Amino acid sequence: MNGKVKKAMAFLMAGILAAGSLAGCSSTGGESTTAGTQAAGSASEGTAGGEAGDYPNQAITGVSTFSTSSGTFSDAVKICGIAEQYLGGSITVTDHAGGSGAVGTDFVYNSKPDGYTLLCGTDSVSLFGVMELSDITYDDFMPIILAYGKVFYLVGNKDSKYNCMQDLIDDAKANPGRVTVAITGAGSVPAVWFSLLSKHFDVQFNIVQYEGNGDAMTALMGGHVDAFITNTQQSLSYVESGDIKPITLLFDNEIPQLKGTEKLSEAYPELAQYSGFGNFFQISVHKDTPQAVIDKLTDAFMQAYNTPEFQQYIKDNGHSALGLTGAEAITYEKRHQSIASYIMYDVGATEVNPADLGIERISE
Amino acid sequence: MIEHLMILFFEPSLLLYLTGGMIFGMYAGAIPGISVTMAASLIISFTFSWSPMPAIAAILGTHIGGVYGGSRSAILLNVPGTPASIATTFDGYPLARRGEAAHALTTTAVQSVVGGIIGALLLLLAAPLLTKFALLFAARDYFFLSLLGIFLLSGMTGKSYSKGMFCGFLGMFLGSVGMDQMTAVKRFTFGSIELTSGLAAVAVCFGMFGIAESLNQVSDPENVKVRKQKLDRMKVNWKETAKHLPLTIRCSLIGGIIGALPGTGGNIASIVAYNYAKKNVKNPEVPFGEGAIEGLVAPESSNNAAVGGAYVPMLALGIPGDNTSAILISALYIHGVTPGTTLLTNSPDMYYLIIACILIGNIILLPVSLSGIKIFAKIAEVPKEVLLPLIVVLCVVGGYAINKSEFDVFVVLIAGFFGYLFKRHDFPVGSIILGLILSSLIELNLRRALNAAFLSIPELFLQILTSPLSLILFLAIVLLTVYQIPAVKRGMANRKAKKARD
Repeated sequence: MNGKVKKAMAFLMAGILAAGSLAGCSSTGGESTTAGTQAAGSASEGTAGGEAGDYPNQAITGVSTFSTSSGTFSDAVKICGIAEQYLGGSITVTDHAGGSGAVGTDFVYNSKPDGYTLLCGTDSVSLFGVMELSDITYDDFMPIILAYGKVFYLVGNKDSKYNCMQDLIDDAKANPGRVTVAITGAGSVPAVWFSLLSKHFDVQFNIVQYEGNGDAMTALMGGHVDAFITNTQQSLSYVESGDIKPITLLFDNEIPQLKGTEKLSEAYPELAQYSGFGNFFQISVHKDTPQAVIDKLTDAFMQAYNTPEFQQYIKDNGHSALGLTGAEAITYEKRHQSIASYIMYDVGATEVNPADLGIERISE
Repeated sequence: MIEHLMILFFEPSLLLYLTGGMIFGMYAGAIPGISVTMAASLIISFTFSWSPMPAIAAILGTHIGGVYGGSRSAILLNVPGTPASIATTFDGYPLARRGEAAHALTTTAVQSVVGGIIGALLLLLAAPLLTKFALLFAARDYFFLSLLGIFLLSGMTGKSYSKGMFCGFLGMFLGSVGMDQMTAVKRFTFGSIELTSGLAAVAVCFGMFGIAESLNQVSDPENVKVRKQKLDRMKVNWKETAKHLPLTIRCSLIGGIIGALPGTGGNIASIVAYNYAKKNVKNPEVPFGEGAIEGLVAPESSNNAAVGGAYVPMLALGIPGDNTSAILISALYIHGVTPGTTLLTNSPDMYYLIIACILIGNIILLPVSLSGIKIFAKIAEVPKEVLLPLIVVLCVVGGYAINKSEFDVFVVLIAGFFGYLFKRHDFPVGSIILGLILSSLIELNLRRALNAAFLSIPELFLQILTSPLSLILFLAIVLLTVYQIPAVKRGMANRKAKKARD
C-alpha cells in the first residue's frame, strides 16, 4: 500500500467513525446514564401512561444540577440511594452542571414527563427569572420532597474584633467601603444577605467574591476578608476547632455548636421576616408527570426521608430538616423566590422587576 | 500515629480496594476521554453502598492511578490523558517516535512513584506548615502564580515566545466565554444555553490535541510510517533513576507545594517543574523538546507529588486542593464523615487511612504502573491508519461523556479543526489549553485583588510591596517578561558569548 492510499483510508475511517459516534450521541441524548452503572435500562419507550401499576420498570435517572464535587450531588446520591429501596427500582444520579443550575433544570424539563428523570436541585430556580438565566419557573415542576434547608450564619476569623452584628455595622459605618466581606457568587445566599444588611443598615461593604464556600473560608481564615456568611454543612468543624468565630445566627434553629451565638431575629426583630433565608435541597419532577407516578415517588422519598439514616445525615450536617411535599413545598419555594428576587432587584443587581414575572413581594 | 498508619496491613482487603481503584484509574486516565475526575465520580456512585473505608481506599487508588495514567497517552499518542500531563508530551512523544516508548513509559512509572512518595511524606510530616503557607496566599498571589504558569509555558514551547503568549491569551479569552460568576452577565454566549456554562476545557483539549494531531499526521505521509519500538529497555534503570534523583526531589517539592494551594494542582506544578528542569539541567543528553529524559522526570514526579499536596488543605481544613480531592470530600459526606479541622480528632482512623492510602498507594503504583508497558508500547507500533481513526473516536466519545451533551462533540470537532491550523503554523496548542483552564483563576483573582485593594491601583501596588510573597511572584513575572524582549535577549546572548570568549 502506498502512502496516498493509506492516507485516504485513514481519512475515510476517521470520517465514518466520527459520523457514527455523532449519530449515536443524538439518539441517546435523552436518556443519559453514567457509564459505570449496572442497570442502564433498555429504552426510552417506557410505559408513561396514566397507570403507575408497573412504575418503575426501567432505570430512573436523578439529575444533579451541580457538579459531582458539590454538596447537591452528595445529597442526591444519599437520598436516592435510600429511596430506591422503597421504590423498587434503581436510581442513577448524574450531573448536568452549568448556568447556576439552569442547564440541568432545562435538561429535566425537556425530558419525557414520565417520572424516569428526576430533578435533584436546589433553590437556584428562584433567581432564574430576575437573573435572566432561564424561562423555567417552579411552576414547571412538581416537588416530590423538599428535604431540608441549609442553616446560615455570619462568621469572622478567629481573631475577629466583631462579637455581634452591631460591631460589624458600626465598623462599616466608621470606615465606609473599607470592611471587606466575602460572597460566593451573584445571587448566592451570602450575596443576598449582605445586600439585605447593607440596605437595611445603610452601610457600604467592600464585597469580594469567591468561587465557593471553601475558597471563601480559606480567605477568611487567612485574614484576607473580615466577615463571611456560611452554612453549617461546611463549617461547624471550624467552629469546634476555634478556627472561625460565629457572630450571628441568621436562622431560628437551635444548633448545639452555636449555642450562645446571637440570633438575628432576637437582636433585630424587624428583620425576623427574613430569618431562615438560605439554600434548600429538593427532588422534583416535570409537572406533566402522571399523578399516580408522583404519588408513588412522593411515598418512596418520604419514607427515605424518615429513615433514621437520612435523619442522622441531616443532623450531622447541621441542616434544618423540612420534609415538605406538595402544596407546602410550593409555598416554601415561592417565599424563597420572592425574598431573593426582590432583594436582587432592590439593590440594583438586576433590572428585571420581579413583579413583571408575577412574583409577589412577601408581606412586610 | 504509626499504628493508625498500619491500618492497611491489619485490613488487607483495603489494600485490594486500593489496588483495584488504582488499576481502574490508570487505564481510565490513559484513555483520552476519561479524566481522573470522571473516573473518581464513577467510583463514587459505584461504592455508595459500601462501608466508608473501602470506598475511600478505592477513590484514592483511582486518583493516584489516574494521574499516572494520563502520561501514557501523552507519550504514545501526543494527547495528554489529563491536563496535568501536557508537559509530558514535550519530551515523551519525541521519545516514542524515536522508538523508545518503553523506556519513556518505564521512566515515567518510576518518577511518578518517587514523586508520589515524596508528596505523601510532605502530607504526613509538613501538612500543618504547608497549610499555614497556603493561607498566606491572597487573591493577588493566586493571580500572579497562575499568570506565571502561562508565561512559563509560553516561554518554553514552540519556536516563538509571541506565538506562545498569543495562544495563552487566546486560551484565556476562550475561558471567558459563559456566564460571569461574579455578575451573572453572559459573555459571548450568543443566546446559547450550552455556552452559558462555558467551553469545557477537556473538550477543547481533546480537539486541539487528539483530533488536530490525527489530522496533522494524516496530512504528512512521512508520518504515517511507524517506528519499530525497542522493547529491551523496559527494565527499570536504577542507575539512571539515581542520577536524576536530585532533580526528582526538587521537582517533587515544587509539585507538593503547588498542589497544596487550593485550586492549583498538577497542571501548573508540572509546567513550573518542567521549566525549572529546562533552566537548571546543564547538559541533557538530548536537548529538551526532542526527547530528554529530564523532560519526563520533571513533570511526572511533580504531578504525582501534587496528589499528596492536594490532600494537605483537604485534611487540614476540609478544603479541596483539586477537583478529585473535592470528590473525596463529597464521598466523606455521603459516608457520614465530616471533613474539616475536626477530622483528626473525630475520626483519626479516617484521617490516617487517607494518608496511609496515599503513601502505600504510591508504593503499590510501582508494580501496577510497570504492568502492561509492553502492550502499551505496542500501541506506538499500531499502523497509523488504524490508530488515528481510533483516537478521533475516543476524542469524540470523550467529548460527549463530559456532560452527556452533543454540544461538546461539536466543540471537540471545531477545536480539532483550529488546532490543526495552529499546529501547521507552529502555534503551541498547550498554551491555549492552559490559558483556558487557568482563565477563571486568573480573572477572578485579579478582580478579587482589586476589590481587596478597594479598587485603587496604588493601593494594590502598596499591598504587593508590603507582602514578600506577592513581591517575589510579581518580580518573577516582570523579569520573565523583560528577559523575553528581543533586545534584552540579544544583549544577554552577546554577554554570554563575550564571557565564553574571554
